[in-house]
Amino acid sequence: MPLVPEAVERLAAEFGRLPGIGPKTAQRLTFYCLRASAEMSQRLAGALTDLHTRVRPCSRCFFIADGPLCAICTDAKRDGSLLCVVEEALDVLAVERSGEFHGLYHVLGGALSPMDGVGPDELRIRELEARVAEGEIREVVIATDPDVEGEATSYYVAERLAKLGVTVSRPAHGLPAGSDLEYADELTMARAFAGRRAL
Amino acid sequence: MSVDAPSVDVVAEPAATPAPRCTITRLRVHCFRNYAEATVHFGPGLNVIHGQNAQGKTNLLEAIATLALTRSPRTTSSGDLLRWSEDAALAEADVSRPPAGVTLSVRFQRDPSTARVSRVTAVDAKPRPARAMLGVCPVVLFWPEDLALVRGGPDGRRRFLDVILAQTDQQAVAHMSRYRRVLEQRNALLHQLRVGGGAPDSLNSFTTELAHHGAWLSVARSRLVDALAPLAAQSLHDLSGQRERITLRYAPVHVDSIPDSVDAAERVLLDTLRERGTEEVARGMTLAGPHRDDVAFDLDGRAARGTASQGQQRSIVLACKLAEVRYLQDRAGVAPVILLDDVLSELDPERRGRLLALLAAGAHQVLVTTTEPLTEVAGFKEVLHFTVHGGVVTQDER
Repeated sequence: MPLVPEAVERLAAEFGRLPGIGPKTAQRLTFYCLRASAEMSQRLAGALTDLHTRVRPCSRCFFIADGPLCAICTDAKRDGSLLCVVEEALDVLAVERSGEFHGLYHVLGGALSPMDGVGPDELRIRELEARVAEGEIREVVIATDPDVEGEATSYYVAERLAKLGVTVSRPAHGLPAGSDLEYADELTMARAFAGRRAL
Repeated sequence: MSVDAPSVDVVAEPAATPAPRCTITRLRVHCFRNYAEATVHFGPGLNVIHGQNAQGKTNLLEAIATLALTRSPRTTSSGDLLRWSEDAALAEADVSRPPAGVTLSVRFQRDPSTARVSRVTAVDAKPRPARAMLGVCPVVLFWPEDLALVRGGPDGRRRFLDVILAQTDQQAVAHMSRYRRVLEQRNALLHQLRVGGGAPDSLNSFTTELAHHGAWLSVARSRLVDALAPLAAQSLHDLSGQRERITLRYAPVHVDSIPDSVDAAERVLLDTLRERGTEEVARGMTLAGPHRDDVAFDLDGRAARGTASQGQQRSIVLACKLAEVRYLQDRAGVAPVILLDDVLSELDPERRGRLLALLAAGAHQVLVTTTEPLTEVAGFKEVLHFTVHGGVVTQDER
């Protein structure tokens, strides 16, 4: 007979599937839920269920929304001539935190990766072209990840948009602010120097 | 010493202070290859590790090379390093070097659910990225595989350069790992295109990224070869006393020589890849770039590979390894640790003697594995002997 009831095993296994959660943490979370009130578990279960019934991708930019359009696309104060292209919805939050960007977004849903079978058709590039073709967007900032796949994707997207007569830019690679120079990795340092500006 | 003559004409005795050097004072292995647990205290001079075949001599040198290079030069699969039926392995070494000694460690851990082996590197018990460990303890590994440096395939010659770059140029390490990745991606795409899948219009973006890192790497390698060439020529002279001239030349496949500027090298590589695109699709692989480049060795102006005798080729190999030692010493500012795995028996007594004498004169810490007892240890003041038997290391009383 197993040591713990099946319901406990099952929840621990589900927690264990989450990123960053190892078997021990999964067990601790399960036992926490067991000790906490039944209402708390209900709330957690409800929140998880709502996640998929109430949240869907924005039909224009593919960021997360609870209606047809997301909060950013419906915000009248946003600059509709500026568009930032990112890989994932989470990246939108990262750019938003900077408070520097006041335009709209487009979430590609990943990056080109032939090894994983991800080509242009698996990304929302056609939708991006259609948005740009509408004519209101003047500049597209491609903020894909600075890894090999993200760089290749940025070249590819830039190529596809070139025909549409829009300005395409890529955020400068730089040193992380608020940390010491010695902690920057070599490529970041090299790129920061290559992209230096006069004072 | 009092000198009355005009000081300009006086050549002082060379100072007796030895060159700064790097030595490994303690090595600990835990569940590493055939070792359950072993700690070895090495001496600063010559360390002779003696034992029968398959007892674990090479594994000790591999552990040191793995610490110095952050991955094993012997295998591409970290799982090989784990002792049979174990899920974790550890190698740890105390390194004595100026300005301050450090403890390096690398731990390999197998995730039981995915069977993937992850690597954790640490300096002084604090987790640090692998790149922070590279170059801390410069080593030169010389093993039987190296004897094929001249006559063997080009991958051995590329590895010869990359191991040096990894220990001396941190930017090169970053470009190497990105180049490997983009090459895999581009080859995957070319393969798909060959069988009628994939997006043809996405090839160009991977070409651009590949040329960027590839050009950087080719320029770094080409400059390295230029720096090694005179050192190898001098080393050949020191080893054999002969007057044969050895020259080294970086030999890319797509162009006669790599331009010295990265931008120019990138343009040349881009042009080549774009020209050969159709052929690449037909063959399903990337046909130009540092993964195809080579090094040419000439002896008295003729290709050593075709014309040099076995003995001459061996001398060239030795000269190249000594050039590696001298280059690393120059760049790192400390004499590197020398790991000689089973190669001394491959050399004739004269070459063996000259090699050991040169290493002794350079004040290097040398670790030698051998199946036969090593009798001539000329030049070394401190010699320690160890015996390895079935994964147990004992220091011999002499």
